[in-house]
Amino acid sequence: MDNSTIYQHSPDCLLEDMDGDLLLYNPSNATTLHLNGPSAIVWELCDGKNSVKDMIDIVKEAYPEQQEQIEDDIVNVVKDLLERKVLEPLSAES
Amino acid sequence: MARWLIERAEVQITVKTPSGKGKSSKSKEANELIEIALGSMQAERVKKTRGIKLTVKHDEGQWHLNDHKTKLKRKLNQPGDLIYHLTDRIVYHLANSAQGVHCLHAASVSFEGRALVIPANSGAGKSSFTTWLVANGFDYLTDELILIDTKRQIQGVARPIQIKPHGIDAIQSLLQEPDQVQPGKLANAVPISSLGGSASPHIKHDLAVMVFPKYKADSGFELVKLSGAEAGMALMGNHVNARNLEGHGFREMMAIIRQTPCYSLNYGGFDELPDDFAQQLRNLISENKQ
Repeated sequence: MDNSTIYQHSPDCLLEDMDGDLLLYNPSNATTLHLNGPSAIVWELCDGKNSVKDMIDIVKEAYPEQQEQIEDDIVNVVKDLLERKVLEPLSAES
Repeated sequence: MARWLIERAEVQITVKTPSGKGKSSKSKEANELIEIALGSMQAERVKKTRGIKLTVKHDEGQWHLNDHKTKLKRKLNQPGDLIYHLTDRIVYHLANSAQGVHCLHAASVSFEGRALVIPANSGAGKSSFTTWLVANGFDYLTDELILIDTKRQIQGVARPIQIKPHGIDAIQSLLQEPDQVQPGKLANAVPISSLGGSASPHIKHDLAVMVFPKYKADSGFELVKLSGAEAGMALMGNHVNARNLEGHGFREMMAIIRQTPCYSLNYGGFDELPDDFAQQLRNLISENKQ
C-alpha cells in the first residue's frame, strides 16, 4: 500500500451512531459493518484530506505507548475497508 | 371454482382453484387444502381475480401449483409440500412488491396486541420456537415474514407453521391435534388450530421486543440483551426488500432498533428453556409499552 494515498468514504455509504457504536451500511453490496476501535478511528480520519501516513502520525501522537503496532493496524484496517468497498482513493478530479 | 384474495401493502394476490364442473373431487380437495393454507392469513373469498394469480389443482394424485406472474410451475405429491410452495409464492410476491413497509425474514407472535418479533435466517430454529410460543399461549402472526412500518406496526403472513421433517419429532409433544398436520417432504404444515392456538392477522400489532434465536442441540439456554449495534447488524441481515427502499431502509431500521429492546436467545431444545420462560417473555412485552 502506498502510504501517501488519500482515501475518502464511498459516496453511498450510510453511517449511524448506535449509542456510541458506529454502524456503516453499504448499499452497493448490502452489507453492514460494525466499526469499533481502530476501524472507527480510521473511518473518521479518511476524510479526503489525510493520507495513510497522516493517519499513522495522528494516531501515534494520540497513542504514543502503542507506536510499534499502529502502522500495521491502520494499514490493515484501510485494506479491509477498501475490500468492503466503503473507502475509495481520492481521485484527481476530487 | 373458488378464489381467495390476500392483500397487504398495496400487493394483491389471488389464489384460484379450477371449476368444479365434472371435476368436483379435484376442486373439492384443492379448496379444502387451500382453506388450511390460508385459513389464518386473512384471505378474503372473492369473485374476480385481482393482482398476481396463483392457481392450484389436484389431479391424479398430484398437486399442481402455477404462479402465472413468474411462470413457475410445480407438481407436488404431498399436501404439506403444496402448502409450503403456495405460501412461499405468497411470501415471495409480498416481499418483492410491498410498498411503504419493511419486509423482514422473521417470525412473530403477540401478547395483548403487542408483538414479539423473532428475526432469523433458515436453520436458526425460528419456526420450532414459534410453535413452542403458540403452544404456550401467544397469538400467532407468522413464522416467516413480517411487514413493519415506521410507526413500528406489524402485520404477519400467517401461513401454517412450516416444520422441516427432521424437526417434527421435537414438536410432537406440543400438538393437541396431530392429525391436522399436513405432511411433506420439504416441510410439514402445522395449522395453528393443531396447537390449540389462535392467530390474529387482521390487526396491526405494536412492536414490543425482538429476540434473535439460535438453536444448537444441547447448547443450553442463554438470553442476553443486545446492544443497538449488535441488533442492527443482525436485523439488516434479515431485511428482504431493502433494495426497494430509499437508503435500503437502513436509517429507518436503526430508528426502530433504538426504540426496541433486543435479545439473543441460544437454546438447545425446549426442555432447556426455563419453566417460566413464556412468562418472562410476556413480562418483557408488557414492560415495553410506549
